[in-house]
Amino acid sequence: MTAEVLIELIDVQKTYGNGENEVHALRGASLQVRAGELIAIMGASGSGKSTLLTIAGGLEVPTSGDVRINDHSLPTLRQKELARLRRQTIGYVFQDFNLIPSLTVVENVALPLELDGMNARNARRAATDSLESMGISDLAKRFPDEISGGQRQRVAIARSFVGPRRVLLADEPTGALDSKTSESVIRAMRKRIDGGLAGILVTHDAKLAAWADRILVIRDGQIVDELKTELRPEQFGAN
Amino acid sequence: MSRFNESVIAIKIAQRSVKRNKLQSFLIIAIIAVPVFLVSALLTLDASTKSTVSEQLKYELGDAVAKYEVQYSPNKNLAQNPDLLQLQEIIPDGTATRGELVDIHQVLPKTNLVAVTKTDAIFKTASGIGPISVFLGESWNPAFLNKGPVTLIEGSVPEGSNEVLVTPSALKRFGVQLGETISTESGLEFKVVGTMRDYSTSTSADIVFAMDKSIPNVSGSSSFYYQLSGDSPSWKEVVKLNQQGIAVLSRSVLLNPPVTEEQLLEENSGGASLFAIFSVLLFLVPLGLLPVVVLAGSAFAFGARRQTRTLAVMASLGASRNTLQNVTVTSGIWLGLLGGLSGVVLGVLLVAFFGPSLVTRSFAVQPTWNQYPGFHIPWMFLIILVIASGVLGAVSSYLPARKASRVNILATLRGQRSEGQVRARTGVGALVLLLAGLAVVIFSSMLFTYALNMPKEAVSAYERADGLKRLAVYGQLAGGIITVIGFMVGRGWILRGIRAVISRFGKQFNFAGRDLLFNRSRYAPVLSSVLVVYFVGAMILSVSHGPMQKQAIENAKQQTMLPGQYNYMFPLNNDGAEPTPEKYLASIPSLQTAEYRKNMITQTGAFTNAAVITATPDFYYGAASRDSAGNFLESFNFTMPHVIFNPETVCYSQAISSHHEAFMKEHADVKDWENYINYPPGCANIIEMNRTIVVADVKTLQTISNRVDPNAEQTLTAGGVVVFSRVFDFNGTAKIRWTKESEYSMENNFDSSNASKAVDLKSYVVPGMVSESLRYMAIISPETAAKLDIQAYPVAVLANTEAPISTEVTDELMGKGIWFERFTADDPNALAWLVTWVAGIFVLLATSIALGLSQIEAATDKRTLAAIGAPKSFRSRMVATQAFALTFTGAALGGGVGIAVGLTLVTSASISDLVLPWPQVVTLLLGVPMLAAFIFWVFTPKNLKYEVRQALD
Repeated sequence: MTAEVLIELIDVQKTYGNGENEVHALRGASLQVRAGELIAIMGASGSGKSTLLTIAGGLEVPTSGDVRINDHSLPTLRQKELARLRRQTIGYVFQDFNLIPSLTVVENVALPLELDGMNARNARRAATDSLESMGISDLAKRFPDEISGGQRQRVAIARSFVGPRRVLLADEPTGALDSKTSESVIRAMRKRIDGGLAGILVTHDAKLAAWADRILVIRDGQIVDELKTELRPEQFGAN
Repeated sequence: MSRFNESVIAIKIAQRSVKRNKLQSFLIIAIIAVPVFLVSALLTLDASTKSTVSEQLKYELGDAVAKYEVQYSPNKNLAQNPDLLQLQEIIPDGTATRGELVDIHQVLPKTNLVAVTKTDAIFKTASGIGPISVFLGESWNPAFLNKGPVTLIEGSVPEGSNEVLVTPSALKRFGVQLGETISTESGLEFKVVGTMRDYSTSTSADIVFAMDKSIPNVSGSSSFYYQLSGDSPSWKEVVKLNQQGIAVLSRSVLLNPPVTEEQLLEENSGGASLFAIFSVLLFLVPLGLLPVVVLAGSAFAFGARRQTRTLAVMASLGASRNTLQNVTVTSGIWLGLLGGLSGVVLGVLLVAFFGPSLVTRSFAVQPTWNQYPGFHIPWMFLIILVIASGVLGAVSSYLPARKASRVNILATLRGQRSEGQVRARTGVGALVLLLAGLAVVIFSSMLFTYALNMPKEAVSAYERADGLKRLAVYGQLAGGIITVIGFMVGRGWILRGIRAVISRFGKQFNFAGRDLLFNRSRYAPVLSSVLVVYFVGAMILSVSHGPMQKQAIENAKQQTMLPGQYNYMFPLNNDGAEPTPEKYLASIPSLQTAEYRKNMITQTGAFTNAAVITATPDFYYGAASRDSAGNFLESFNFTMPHVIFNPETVCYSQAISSHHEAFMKEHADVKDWENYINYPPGCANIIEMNRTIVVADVKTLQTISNRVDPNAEQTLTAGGVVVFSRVFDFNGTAKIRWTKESEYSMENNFDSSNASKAVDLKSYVVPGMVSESLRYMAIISPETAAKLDIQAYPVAVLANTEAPISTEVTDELMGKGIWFERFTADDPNALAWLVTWVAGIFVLLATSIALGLSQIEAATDKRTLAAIGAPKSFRSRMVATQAFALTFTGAALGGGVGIAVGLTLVTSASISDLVLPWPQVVTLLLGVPMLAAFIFWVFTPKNLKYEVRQALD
C-alpha cells in the first residue's frame, strides 16, 4: 500500500519585488513527499531552496501555485488556521536554532504543545520524552545560552518532533555543527521520519543528503534533477 | 489556545525577561514605579496625618475624660461632629454669635474642671517687644504631661505663679536661658523653669505656659476645660451641651461614636466638596497620566522590540496573532504590577522613615506637632494603585503588542528590517494636527475672553459664562495636546531636521545624526516621551508659577501696620453700644501720626516702600450689629461713603455654595427664608454689601497694588474708580453711595433722605489681586474725592517688602510703637526653585530612562563600532550628541507648546500678569539636556566586547 502524501507543492512560483527589481525565487516547483519519506534539497546559494522550505512551512505565501500539507491547501487558509497547522502538524528546524532564550530547554520544547492548549505538566512530559529521544534529557533545566551550538540544534530538533507532528522541515540543520554532531542530529531526524513523518531537508552537504530517500537539485528556482539514494549511510557503514 | 495557557506562558516569558535583561527591565519598571512612588508616598503621608481614635484620645485628651469649649451663645441650631471640637449651625444661616456665653461651671456644677486659657500678651523680646501666645492654667497637669497633649523637653514644671514654661522657639525669641527671667511689656516678670511642646500648636510657635491668673486682664482669649474624673458625657449629653453653645470632645463618644442617624451634622468632608475634588481630579489625572502612559508606552515599545525575535519564534511554532499580542500585553501587566509594587513599597518606606520630617518641615506652611500622629498605611488605596499600575501596563503595552503581533516572521528571524521600519512617513498628518491644535488653542482663548467679558445681568449669565470658560479651558488644553500629538506623528521629520543640523558639526555628529534617522523606531519614543513630559511640566509650571508666585510675593511683601489705632474700627459689634459720628470721628488718628509712623517704617530699611492708607470710615457695615439671639439691631443711618457689591455676583457666589443648597432643602417654604437674609433662594432680597473707599494718588495706588498698571492709573486720574474685585463691577462701572455730612445734622433730625448721594463711576478691575491689597478694594483719586465731597482719614500704613520679615524685625518695630500684622509665607523664589528642581529631576529621570532604553537597544551597534576600531571618545560623543539633540528638541517643542498653552490660559483668564519663570525655564530647557548628555557621555563604556549579532535574541 502506498503511503499517503503529506507534503505537496504544485507549480509553486514565488516572486520578490517588482519591475526592474523583480526576483523569481521559485519558478514552478512541484514535489510530493509521502509519510516515512525524507527528501533532501540541494542547490547553490540563491537557488531558491530555502524559499521552497519556508513556503512549505507556511511561513511565506507563494505568488502562485498550491501548497498542500496534510491535505490542507495553505494559500486558502486564514492566519489562525495556518498558525494551528504550524503548531499541530509542522515541525520546523532553523539553521540558527531560534530557541527562546528566556525559557529553559524543556520549556522551549514544550512550548508548541502549550501554545496548542495542552496543560504544562503533560507538555513538559512530552517534551522530556522528545529530549530523551535526542539523548539530551540531562539538559532539560538549562537555558539555551548555557549549552553548546550542537546541543541547541538538538533541542531545536526535539522541539520540531514534539507532539503529534506529521511534517518535519529542516533548513541547514547542521550548518553550524561539527561532523560528529551533525551525524547524530541527522540520525535522530531519520529515526523520526521512519516513524511515519514526511520530511524535507535543505542542505549543502552531500553527506547529509545521503540520509534522504530522494535528493532534489534546484537551480534558479526550478527543480532540475532528482536522485534516488539506494543505500543510506548507516547501511553502508558511515559513521 | 486557552487564555489561561497564554497567560501562563506570557508570565513565564515576562518573568524570565526581567531576569535576563535586568537593566532594561529595571528601567521599564522604574517608569511605572516613579509616579506610583510619589502617589503612594502622598497617600501614606495623608493617612499618617489623620488621627485614629486612640491617637486622637492621646493627643487631645491625655488622661482626661472630656474636653469642653464654650464657643457660642446658646442656640438650638448648634451641633458638632462627634470627633471635632467645633460647633456648627445645623442650618448655616449665620445666627450663631458670641454674644452672651454661658458659664460652664453653672452648666456642669458637679464636674471638676481644669481650665486652660489661650490668649496673647505683649512680652519684651530679645529685639524689642512682640505678641506671644500664652496658655494660662495647668497645661502641665499630670493628666496631660508626657501623656500626649504636652511634652516637657527640659527643666521642671512651674511651682508658683511667677514661673513659666516656654516652647523652644520662644526661648530663642526671648534670648534667655533656663532659669532666667522674661517680662511682659507691662512689667510682670516670670522665671523660665523649662521648655515644653504642645502637640496642638505649630512646630515653630512661640508660647508661654503660665499658671492661671498670673497675667491679669487678658482679652480675646478662649478657654478649654478638661474633665479629669467621672463619666465622660454621652452623645445625648453632648447634643444638649451643644445647644448651650458648648463643644465637647468626650472619651466615651470617641470610643463609641453615634450612628449616622443620630448625628445632626453631615460628616466633615475636610473643607472641599466631593464635586470639587472630582473636578480637580478630572482635570489633573489625565494630565498627569499622559506622560506616564507615553513614557510607559515607549518603554513597552522597546520591550516589545526586544522581544520581537521571541515572538517571531513563537509565531513560527504556531502561535496566533492574538496569542502574541496577549503575551506582550501580559508582560506589560506583569511589569506594570512589579513597577506598581516597587513604587508602593518605596513610597511607604519613605513615609515610614521620613514622614514626620516631611510633614513638620516641608509641606505645611504652619505645621503642628500633631499633624503626624502616627504611621498609617492606606492599604485599600495602595492595592488599588498596584492594580492600576497593572492596568497602566496593559494599556501602555497594547499598541506595541499589536504592532509586535504583526511581526514578519522570516524577516525577523533573519534579522532583517521590515518594510514599515524603513519607509519614511509623510508629514501631512502631522501638519494637519499641528494646524488643528493651533486653531483650537486660539479659538478657545477667544472663547475664554468672550466669556470673561460677556454682560452678566443675571445669575444665568454667570452660569453660562462659567460653562463657556470651563469649555475654553478644556479647549486650550486639548489644543495643546493635539499640537503635541502632531509633533509626535511628525517625529520622523523632526529627527530628519535634527540630523540635518547636527551633521554639520563633524564626523561623529554626522554618524550620530544618521543613526538617529536610520533607527527612527529606536529614538522616536525618546523624542515622544521628552515632548510629552516637557509639555505637561512646562504648562503646569507656567500656569501655576504666575499666580502662585504672584500670590506668594504679595503675601510676603505687604505688611499692614496699623499705627496703634486698634479701635479705629468703631463701633464694636458685640458691645451693643450705639455709635455716634462724633465718637467715631474722634477715634480717628491724626495724619501726622500716620506719616510719622510711615517714616519710622521706611527708615528701618526692611521695606521697599510704604504709604499711608487714607480711607472713608467703616462703620456702616459694622453698625449692623446683632443681639445675643442673632437678630439685627436697628442699623445706624449715617452712611459713610462706600462702594457696593454687585448683588448678582454675590447672589451667584451664594447660589453655587453647598450651604445654599442645604438651606434650600430645609426651607422649601418661601416664608421660611425671609428670616434668613444671608441666604435667600433668589437675588431679590439679598442684603446690600459694601466696602469703604480708599482715597489715593497714583503713587499710593502703586504701593497698595504693588505693581505698575497704566490702565488702573489712567482710570484713577480720569476720575474713575479702581477696584480689586469684580464683585464691585456693574458692567464697567462701580456704584458709590454716601451721606453728605453737611446735610446730615441734628437740625435735620438726622434725616438721610436728602443727604443720601449716589454716583456711578467708570471702573477698572485690577486682575489677580491678593493679600493685603484686598483690604483696600476700591480706590478713587483725591481730586475725585474732593469733587464728590467725600471725606477720608488715615487708617493704616501699608509697606512692601522683598521677603518675609522675621520676628526680630517685627519685635523691633513694635518696640518702637508700630503695631504689626504680618503674613507668614514661603519665600517665592525658593518655592519656584523647589518646583523646578522636582520637575527637573522628574524630567531627567524620564528622559534618562527613555534614552537608556534606546541605548540598550543600540548596544549591538556600539559593540560593532568598537570592534572596527571606534575609540571611546567617538562613541561617547556620539551618544552624548544624540542625548542632547533628542532632549533639547523634545524640550524646546514640548516645553514651547506647554508654555504657550499655559500662558494662554493665564492671560485669557486674566488670572495674573505674565510671569514667566525665565531662570527656571532656561534651566529646564538647557540644563536638563546638557546634564543628560553629560551622563551618557560619562557612562559610555571604555571597552566593549564584540558579540555576534545573531546571538539568541
